[in-house]
Amino acid sequence: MLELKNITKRYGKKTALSDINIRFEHGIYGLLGPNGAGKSTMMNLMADILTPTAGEVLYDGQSIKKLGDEYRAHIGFLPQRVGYYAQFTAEDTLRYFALLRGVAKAEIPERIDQVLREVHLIDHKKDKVKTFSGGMKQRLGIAITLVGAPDILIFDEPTVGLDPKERIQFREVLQRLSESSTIILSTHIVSDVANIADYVVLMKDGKMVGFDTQEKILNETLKGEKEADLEAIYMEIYGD
Amino acid sequence: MIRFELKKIFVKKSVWILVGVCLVLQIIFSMRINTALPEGFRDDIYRYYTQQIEGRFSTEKRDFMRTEYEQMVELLSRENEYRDQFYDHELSADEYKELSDQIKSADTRKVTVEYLCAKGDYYSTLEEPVEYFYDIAVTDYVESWSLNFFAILSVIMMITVLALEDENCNTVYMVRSSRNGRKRLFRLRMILAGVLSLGVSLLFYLAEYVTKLLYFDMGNLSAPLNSLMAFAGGAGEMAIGTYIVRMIMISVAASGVLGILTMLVGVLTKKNIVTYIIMLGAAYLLHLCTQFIL
Repeated sequence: MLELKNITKRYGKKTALSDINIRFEHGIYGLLGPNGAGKSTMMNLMADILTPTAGEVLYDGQSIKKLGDEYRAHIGFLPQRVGYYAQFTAEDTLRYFALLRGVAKAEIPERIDQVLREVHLIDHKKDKVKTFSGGMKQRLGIAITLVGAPDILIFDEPTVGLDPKERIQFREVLQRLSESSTIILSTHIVSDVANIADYVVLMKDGKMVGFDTQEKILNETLKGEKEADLEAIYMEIYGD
Repeated sequence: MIRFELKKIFVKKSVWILVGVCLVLQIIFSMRINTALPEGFRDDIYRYYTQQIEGRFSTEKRDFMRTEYEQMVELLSRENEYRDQFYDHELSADEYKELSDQIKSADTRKVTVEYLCAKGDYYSTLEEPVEYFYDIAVTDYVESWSLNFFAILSVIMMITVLALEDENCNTVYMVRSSRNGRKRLFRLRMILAGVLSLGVSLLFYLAEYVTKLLYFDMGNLSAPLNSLMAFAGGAGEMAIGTYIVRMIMISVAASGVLGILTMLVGVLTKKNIVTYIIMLGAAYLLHLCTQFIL
């Protein structure tokens, strides 16, 4: 279980996140908000990339800063701006990240095949990443996130660059993984959250303006004034 | 992980090109003599005389060179006298030609023989045993020793790739959010930076040494270091070869330190160009330090 407790993050005078309190348990959590809402900052804090100005991130009740390597063994993080070693093959890339994530050497070949099948890149296992299209690279990024078989998957804008078919495939992957993992994804694409998230976190100007199951958000936020869908709620909160 | 860290460096064509060019330039520069010899010094004459007196120094050998020199000076001082004698028909044309040839030869040999006399004088002040041998190339090699610029450039380039490839490829967040992506990876890269720097710089120093061995007559490397006039006293009985090995080891170790520093600077600055500038500056300081040590 991952918990953000009284989290505030400032960059100089600018407050990126203000007093966030949230607990992630099992299921898929969709962080929704426009650019600059603080989603990526929150993701980076959970991935132990950033350190909060105030508050702390807890994993099973313990500070992730104290847990250090032990905590990071439980997470898979796909950042918003993801890059690759262009000269590596897909297999090399995954082997490297499997080693970084502490996967036992004997298990690595099987894990690589498994995640490549999951993202439909198994036929490109021996291809160099520099020959991949944008969508293929994004799928490889997802495979990297999965290769360590983490409990918590953190995806920052994961569907950017994916075509509609790939997006649907990605959602299917997430739905399969949600049976055993906690999945937190941030996006500004409402349909991504609407189709798969069990819980919705609405972010605005560094603050959490809504957090509940998708069903409750839909039923309670608009109170029957309009046809209740997530897009209508998004427009209601963030305007044009 | 070591394999992949190395692969990041060695899949880069720019690294191969730079190291290759540096290695070729190193070999070309190793084919030059940098030390300035006295004006009029003749390598062939020096080789001839050192072959004559080769081996352990003795006062007889020193005196032989002094006698040679005095005879030359004597001959040269009588040049005008011989000419007058020739014009006064006291010397035949054949006799004058022979004397002129001797004078010309003495004039050609004078600076070189004078140098050998100075060497004999220097040797006679030493208590340790020293040896005469052809030492031009080896003197140049040890006297012009400094931190190898081409090795340093290659080390800085390669270690910067090792330190900053994650930043340059935008993989840093994925790496740092991994279990082994921090302390363990940093330790591994520090060790690799050190080992790689030692290996690369050793390659350059060996390339230089082997080129010198193949291209020049490096003389007697087992002779005492004091035999080289550039090391006037203070070197004890250390052999020239031992001194060269010591210099290579110090320089290679300095490159290793530089490699580790490059890694640290790269991690701290996160910028290639800043790392290059800082490390080239640090290399210059290290150069001054090694000059002082050597």
